[in-house]
Amino acid sequence: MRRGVREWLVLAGTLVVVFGGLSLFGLMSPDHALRGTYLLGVAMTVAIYALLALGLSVEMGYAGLLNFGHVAFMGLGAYGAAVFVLKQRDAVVPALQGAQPWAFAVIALIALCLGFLVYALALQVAQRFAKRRRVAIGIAAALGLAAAIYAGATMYPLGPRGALNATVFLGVLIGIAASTLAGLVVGLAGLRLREDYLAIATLGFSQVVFLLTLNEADITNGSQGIQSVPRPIFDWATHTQWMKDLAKHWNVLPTGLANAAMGILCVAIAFVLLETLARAPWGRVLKAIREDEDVAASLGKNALLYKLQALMIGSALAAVAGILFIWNVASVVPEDFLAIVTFYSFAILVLGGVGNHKGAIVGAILIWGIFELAGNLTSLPFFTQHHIAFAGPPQAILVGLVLILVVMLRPQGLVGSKEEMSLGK
Amino acid sequence: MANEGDIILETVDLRKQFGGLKAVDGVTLKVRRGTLTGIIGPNGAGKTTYFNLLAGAYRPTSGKVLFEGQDVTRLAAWRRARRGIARTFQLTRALSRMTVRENLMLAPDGQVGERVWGPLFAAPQVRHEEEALRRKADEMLSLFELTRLADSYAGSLSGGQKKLLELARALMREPRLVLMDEPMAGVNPTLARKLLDKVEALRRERGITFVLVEHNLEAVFERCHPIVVMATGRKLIEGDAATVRAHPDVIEAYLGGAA
Repeated sequence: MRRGVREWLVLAGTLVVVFGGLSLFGLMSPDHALRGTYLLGVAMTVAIYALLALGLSVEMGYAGLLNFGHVAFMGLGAYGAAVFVLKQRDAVVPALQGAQPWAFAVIALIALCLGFLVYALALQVAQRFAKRRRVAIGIAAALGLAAAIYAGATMYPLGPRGALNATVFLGVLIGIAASTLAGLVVGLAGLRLREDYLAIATLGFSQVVFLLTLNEADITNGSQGIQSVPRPIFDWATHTQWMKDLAKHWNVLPTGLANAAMGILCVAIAFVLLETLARAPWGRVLKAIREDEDVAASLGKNALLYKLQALMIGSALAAVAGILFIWNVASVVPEDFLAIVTFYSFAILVLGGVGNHKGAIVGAILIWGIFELAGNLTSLPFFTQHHIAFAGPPQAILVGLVLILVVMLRPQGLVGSKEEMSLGK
Repeated sequence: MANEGDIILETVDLRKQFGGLKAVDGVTLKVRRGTLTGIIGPNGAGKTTYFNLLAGAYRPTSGKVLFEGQDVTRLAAWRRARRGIARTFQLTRALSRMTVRENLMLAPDGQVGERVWGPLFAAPQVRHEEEALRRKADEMLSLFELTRLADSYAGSLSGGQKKLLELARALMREPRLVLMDEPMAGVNPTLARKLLDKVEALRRERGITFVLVEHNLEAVFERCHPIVVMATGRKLIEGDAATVRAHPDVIEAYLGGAA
């Protein structure tokens, strides 16, 4: 319990230091409106990296799998969504408008997804209060069904904007499905290898994905990438009055606010999901497999199944990160998904503490905080334009320096447990 | 069904070859339910390989393993475990970065919370199950006098305590057959005696069958019946302590060709 409190304090402290520090730099900037929006932008980037690191945390921290190709799953999510939406938009959007069978099927699908979400959430609450399991499930199912029917009825028939949003939604599903399936396939092939070889195999896989996105120009536009990807959050924020009012009140851009809120929401949901699983017997089995696969097998646990599940969950989270990424920048190019992104994710885990989901979030805030703080240093008066041009390398050096310091002074990471670390295998 | 004295485990002409080395070279053996069978033999006799063939860690080159009359030769270790075979390891393998209690609660099969949807969609059931598991684990801990270590990391236990933990963990699964690989290696004599007393009591009271591979001959002669002697990958002889002790082949196997 006390340890849990300490971890939350570290998280809060990191937030205050990083965003407080960035605000201080902001105070020197003449443009008041941009300052808050800039912080929101940093928050969005942090959220994307936190999602990536959370995915890796399940794979490495809990299942003990070294996935050096994590970025590929982010790329698959991003490209899966972007390619579908942009290439199929002209065919799909008209087909979804008005009273057509396809429109009906897609609306039913979206409504069911929404209904399932409501069901799942309601079940969490109902399970706490209802004495009997059937009652809880009944209440949750009724709510889910009602939500699905209501959502379906309000959506049908789709107008042009609705059809586009539905297409984007399909793209999201396709992106996540592509990445999760790839996780399954890579797992089935790679998990038969010994641990370190999995790392090499996944690194190879990420290179394959990179080269495919670069060279399959018919599908991906090659090195030019895909521009002007529809940004549903961005569009929503520019068209929603209360969002605009709220943003005006806080003196930020509504789009930045909506994006950051979406990112933080995704991280929060992912964190709660993973924590629930980690504290449950499922997480216990995963930890046992990480500790000693033979022992887990001798206790009747099917290690391959659990590792596949961990890989698929990690890949799905990476895909969500990828989709948030393209929604943030409205474009996607192969160079967005270089191996360095994977290694930043690893650095985040090492900084925060391997085997602790809070560590993934702390690490993401810290790494990105250091980057941004270092970048802002050049706005201090004694730096000239000449210095600013060379600001890139010192940023990376600073991150490296902090990493070395953490590994030396706190090898268990900022929120990791020293005892767990020292026991090792 | 489970009659005292029927055959629980059987191997038929079991062989395992590593390259040119015939580690296990045609072992046929029947283990009766409710016995404490000891497997002895000099170093390199193939005991541990044979043991791993029984547990499913290795696939045999040829031959069969039958558990309760069913062929389990092709089953992976985890599937055999689910049939009711538990094992301990030669070098203790506690799950270090998990607490002693977690080690025990992990062991039983069929936990709803172990499935990925369980914790999310059947939370009350999982909570209920965990409470029951916790009680069961605490009973097992008090049986093995490990209660005060319940919340320590398993990695911080002494060698002997880890052996006890391994046995307790295996028993959490309510197995019908327990395979123990050198349970007394590296354990002080008092604790070793305690361990064997536990095994004996469990055999008598719960009818669990034990097969142990052991280097401590005195303990095996004192406790096990029957005793199986292996040498150069084969079963040399099988019988009670007196028969085995007197047999000339056994003396030769242990002393080498010189005797």
